[in-house]
Amino acid sequence: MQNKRVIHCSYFLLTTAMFVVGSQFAELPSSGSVLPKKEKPDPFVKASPIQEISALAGAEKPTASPGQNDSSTGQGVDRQPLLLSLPVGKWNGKGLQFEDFALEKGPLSEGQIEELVLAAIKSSDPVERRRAFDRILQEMQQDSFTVEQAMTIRKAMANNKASGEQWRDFDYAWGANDPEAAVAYIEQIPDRYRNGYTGNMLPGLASVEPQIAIDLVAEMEGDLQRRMTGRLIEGLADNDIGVATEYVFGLAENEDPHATQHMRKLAREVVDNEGLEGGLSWAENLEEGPLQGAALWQVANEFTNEDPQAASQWAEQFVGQDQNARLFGEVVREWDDREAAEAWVASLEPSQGQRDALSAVFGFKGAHQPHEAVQEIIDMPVSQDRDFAINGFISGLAVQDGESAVIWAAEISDPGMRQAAMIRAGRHFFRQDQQAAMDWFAASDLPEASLSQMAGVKVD
Amino acid sequence: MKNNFLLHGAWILAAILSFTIGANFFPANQRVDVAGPASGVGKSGLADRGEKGNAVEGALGATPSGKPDGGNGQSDALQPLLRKLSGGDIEILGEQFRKGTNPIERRMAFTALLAGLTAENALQVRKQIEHMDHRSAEFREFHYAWGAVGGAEAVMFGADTEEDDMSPALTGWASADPEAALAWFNNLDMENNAGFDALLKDRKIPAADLNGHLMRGLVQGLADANPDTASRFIQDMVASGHEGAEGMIHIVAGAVMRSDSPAEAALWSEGLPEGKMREMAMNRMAGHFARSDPEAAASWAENFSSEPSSAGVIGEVGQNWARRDAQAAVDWLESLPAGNGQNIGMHRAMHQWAERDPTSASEHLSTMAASDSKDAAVRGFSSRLAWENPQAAMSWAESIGSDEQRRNAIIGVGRAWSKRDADGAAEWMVSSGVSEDVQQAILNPPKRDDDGRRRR
Repeated sequence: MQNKRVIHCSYFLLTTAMFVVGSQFAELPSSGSVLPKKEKPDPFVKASPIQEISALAGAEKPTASPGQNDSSTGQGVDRQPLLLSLPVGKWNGKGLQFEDFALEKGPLSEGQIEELVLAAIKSSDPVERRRAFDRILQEMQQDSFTVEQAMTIRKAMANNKASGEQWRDFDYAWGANDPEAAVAYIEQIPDRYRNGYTGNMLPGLASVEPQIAIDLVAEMEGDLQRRMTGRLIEGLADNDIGVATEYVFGLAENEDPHATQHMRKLAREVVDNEGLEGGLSWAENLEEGPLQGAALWQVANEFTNEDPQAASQWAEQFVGQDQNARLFGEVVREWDDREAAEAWVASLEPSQGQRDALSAVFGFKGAHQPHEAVQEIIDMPVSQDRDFAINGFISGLAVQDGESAVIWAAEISDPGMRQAAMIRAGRHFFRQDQQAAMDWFAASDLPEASLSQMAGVKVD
Repeated sequence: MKNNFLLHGAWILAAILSFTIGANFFPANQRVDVAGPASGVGKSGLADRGEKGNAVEGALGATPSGKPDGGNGQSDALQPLLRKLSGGDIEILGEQFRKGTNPIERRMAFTALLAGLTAENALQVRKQIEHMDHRSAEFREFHYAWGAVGGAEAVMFGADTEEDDMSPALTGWASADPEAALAWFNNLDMENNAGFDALLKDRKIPAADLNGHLMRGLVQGLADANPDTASRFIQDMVASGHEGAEGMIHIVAGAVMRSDSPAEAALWSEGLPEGKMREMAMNRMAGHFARSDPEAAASWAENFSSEPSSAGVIGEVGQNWARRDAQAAVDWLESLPAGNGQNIGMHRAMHQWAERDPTSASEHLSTMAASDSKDAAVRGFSSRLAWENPQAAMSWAESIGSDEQRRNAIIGVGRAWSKRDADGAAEWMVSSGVSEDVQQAILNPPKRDDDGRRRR
């Protein structure tokens, strides 16, 4: 009995030990997996016409063993999968060893930062570039990250001509991880880079410190403020959709003339962050009014691009809601099956939305099938539908033929719509033939002030 | 006895099973808690944002506490190399990539997906990125990475999809295993391979177009691995009569320009074998070099000033230097031996000078002695001035000594004048007495085809 116990205990220990050994065994990296990726050997190294290259098919490839990878001899082909290889040496003639840059080894030195930035820009392998830059971004998340390190990164990025996307990510990450330093840097950066930097950094800042970012934009003026508001909204949406929504409603309350434009921007961000379903639900539950109209208009765009049939069915719930009419036109504009789009418009109940959709149908025709559109318009009785059809038609036509577009605009029976359409078409006409457009303007009944809107000239 | 045998056998079997289970399902250091709470890594902001980024942290090797685990001596950057992503990990990372609340989080999730990519899980990873536009960096990088680990299988997957994923997959494959990718490409027989039916028969893509498309992907990958391999491949394609293959040297040039300094890149192009491919590469590098350091580029280009095939190199340096300092560029060009290179350089440099400072440019032209080089300079100058002051440009064009150069200059200025002010140009034509054929050439410029190229 005693003997059996010993045997069972021994076997139990052996079994446990085998489990531990097995788990450790699996941990060992496969041979060659951490070898630096070198420039691949040149299969043409011996005179190799196409026929010879073809013969390589099925030929046994040389295998690599650790330490044997020698690009100069063309031997030691690194057959490890890309991500099991370490950086290409081509960009600076030596391999980048990622373990030297490990987080636990402490803050990156100036030299290490420069090396990583160089790899992130110069490596011939796009995945390698991404990994090197990600290590920089990880460093920025550390408590130990300093302004000096940030400056070293910026300098190395500038010297090696980092891409716009890398600048965007770096500036965002700086704003998000060290808001104080990132904001202070606005005053230090040379003038010519200031707006670009601020625009990149602001969403990062807003994603963690919304109020500081809002205050920063509030101090700006004019067009700069309008542009930065868009970037601010991106960051606020990254922080909290509710905060961002409240902010845009606040803009409207303060009579910001670009509030609807900003709402469309926010709607894009919501769809990006929450997906289409989340975006639809968010837009549908907004307070009724022009801002909701703008949000629905934007999500209709995204929805139609994904599934036009489903988008058109979704849109029908808004028939009769004049403030949401523009989403119908958006569905038509984004629907790539023109016939299906037209059939859908024809099936809609008469409403503001249906007319907006009709306008979009004729907008397409004005650009692509103007002769067919003209005949259809001629056949239509004078009506609101006809006005909307002409209004859309001239939008498409004016880009190529401003002169005809202004003549058609004058056909609109509704005075307000007619004037707006004439000015819109007139803008293109002035760009295409200023002299002829001036003659037309002189003979038209448009108010003097509209000249500046069309020709971009100041009217005394 | 029999019982004893069974007992020992059962225990030995249990030990073997235990080893297998340990090796396959519980590798040491695997971070099982992929979605564990992360906190306190950074000083603020992103790093502090609680539950966000957990899978990324996990997959990139952070411990559940958010601090990197250096206990086993493996670096954080190496963690992805040792980490197998489970199906659940991939789904979580995919979710974060699609819906992450900030671009950095999305970026890190994508990198983690790539880091854990294997030929086996590639399809599941692809599902996480398939919503991306096929021209996006992420879509292309995923297929590049898949090509590198999956080879032909990754490339052929794209034969049945709408997106352009074959080419980036072939690029990745060629960058990781140039020999195998080359062999596969050279043995392609698309018309007799049912795998290509969806492209050739259903979508009716001409085989030659598809071949050219794949070849561009291959060349990019070869260039990523070794530019010399890529240029030799192009050479062979040219030798075997593949139309337009020389142009692919631009792909290789792009890779070299990314990795090397402009001076090194210029030297690389110089080392290519004589021919159109070398000419194209040298021209490209000359412009790149001159934009970075015009004086150094000029010193390099001087070596070729008497080579007729390298006239474009002088032209590129002249043009790009003139953008910065037209006087210096023209002085340099005047110091070169007379020839086609000098003429092309003068034409382009004076075109630039006329754009920046037409008064100084015209003053300089007045000091030049009559020569082919001056004719080229006047032609370049008038071609730019025509858009600002066509009458003055035409006077300059008419002053050109060479009959052929003068005719070409007059036609060029006339066309610009007609576009800018058709009535004024027509009036000039009537009063100038230019020949009928010149008038016709002005009024009927070559049409451009759909690709924007001039039709001959």
